[in-house]
Amino acid sequence: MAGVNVPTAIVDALTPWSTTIGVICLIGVWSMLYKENPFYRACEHAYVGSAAAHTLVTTYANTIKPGIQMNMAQNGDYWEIIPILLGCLIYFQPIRQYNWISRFPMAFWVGYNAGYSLTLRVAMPLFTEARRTMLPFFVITDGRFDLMTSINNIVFTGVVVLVLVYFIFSRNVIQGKGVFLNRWARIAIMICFGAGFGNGVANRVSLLIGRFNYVLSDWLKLY
Amino acid sequence: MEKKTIWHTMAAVDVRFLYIIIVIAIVIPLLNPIGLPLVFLDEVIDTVALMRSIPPGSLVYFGAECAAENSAELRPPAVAGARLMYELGHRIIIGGFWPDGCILVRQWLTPYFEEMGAVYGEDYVILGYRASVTSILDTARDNFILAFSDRDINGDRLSSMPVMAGLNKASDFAYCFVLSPGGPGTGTYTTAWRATGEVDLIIDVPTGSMYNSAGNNYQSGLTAGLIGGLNGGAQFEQLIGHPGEATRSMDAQSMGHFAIITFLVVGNIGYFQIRRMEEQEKEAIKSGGS
Repeated sequence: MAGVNVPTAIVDALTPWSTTIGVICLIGVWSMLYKENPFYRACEHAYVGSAAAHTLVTTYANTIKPGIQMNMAQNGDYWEIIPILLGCLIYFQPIRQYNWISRFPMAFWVGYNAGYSLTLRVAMPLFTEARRTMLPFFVITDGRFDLMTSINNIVFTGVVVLVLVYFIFSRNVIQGKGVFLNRWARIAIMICFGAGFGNGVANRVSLLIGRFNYVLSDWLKLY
Repeated sequence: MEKKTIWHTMAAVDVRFLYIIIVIAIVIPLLNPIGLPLVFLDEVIDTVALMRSIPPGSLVYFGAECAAENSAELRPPAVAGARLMYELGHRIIIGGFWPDGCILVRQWLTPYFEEMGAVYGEDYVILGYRASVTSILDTARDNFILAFSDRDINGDRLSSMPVMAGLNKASDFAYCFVLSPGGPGTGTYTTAWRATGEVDLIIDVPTGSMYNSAGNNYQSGLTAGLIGGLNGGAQFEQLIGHPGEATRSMDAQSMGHFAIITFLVVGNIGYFQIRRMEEQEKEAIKSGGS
């Protein structure tokens, strides 16, 4: 981070120790899987505290310090004092008598983001995806009818229509035999959620593998 | 008295026993890789082809959007991506809007850059974390150096570095290679630079949990490349000829998934068996009572 350059020799000397501390904390957190215990609590509190401290230092070193030291003192961009003061107003929040003042930066921030979100470029991904949803049902590839791609496109478009119908007619407008559409739409949504859940599980397994790589490779040097 | 079957015994098994099985399923392949075959997806093959098609000397933006918890999935493609970029002669500009992103990526890539002989400031530069992503990316559309206050992660002047030559605005980038575990991520760059026509080619490198939405973006043409999760990282490593951490971890991931799927299947069979037996008992009591 800006302004903090630790000599390489010191980093190299401390790395094995920091790795060992990391492994101890890892075991502490994993001990929760056996049962709740003070070692786990100590590691949890150390994590929360160090994460807060790290965020504070990183934000100061990369945003606040360059803003004051470089942009204002060196480049003479003194107007930057305005957003700094505006940001400071948020600290009125805990003072009950004056907490209305803290709404000003929030209002500014919400307004800025709303304005940004209303621009056409935010809608561009939506339009692009909508356009690419309109696929041909009869696909000709190299002068021949491409059966598999055609089926794929029909299924894809059908599922999109089903799910749209499901959400647009969420008050069960479709009655009688049309109800089966809702059922198929629910199945399609569940398949999508299932795929998302599967990816989530894969993600968690990857995290676990990362931690084992840390213990077995970085710490124990087994491979 | 209710009859106890093997399904009842399995339903009552201590969950910590399952944790141990998953640990064993993951640790053994890590220590002794099995070498399970890898299926190469078109999206990863096309991504490598796209990167190879970019001429040497081109400027590329490396979005270091990540945190420590994503390192298992994002470090392998980050390392492989930077390695390929350097081998192809691309000039790499590394920026990020996650507080730890640039620090982590520097930690991941520095050993490889040193090994390959890449020179900081000439072949690559790390911009460092900046707050307020939308305003910075907006400013970078017109003046990239101003957007990053003309300072890199060490506080040195960007404008004095050879790697920055010819980089005036975002449209000077040939493509963006963005690690994406959430927001800020690929979506942020898509909105800021792709939607405005500054950068047409965005390579999305999502974590597994972001892969579904990343797939939508790729199929609709919003992104030009996709390397998803640890699996995508392993394919990417092998396609560029540098098998590494992801390739080694794939056996462990496959075995971990196999263990979880086995638990799911056995658990569901057990659940339905127990329910069927309970219904049969109720029927028997009913018919006995009547």
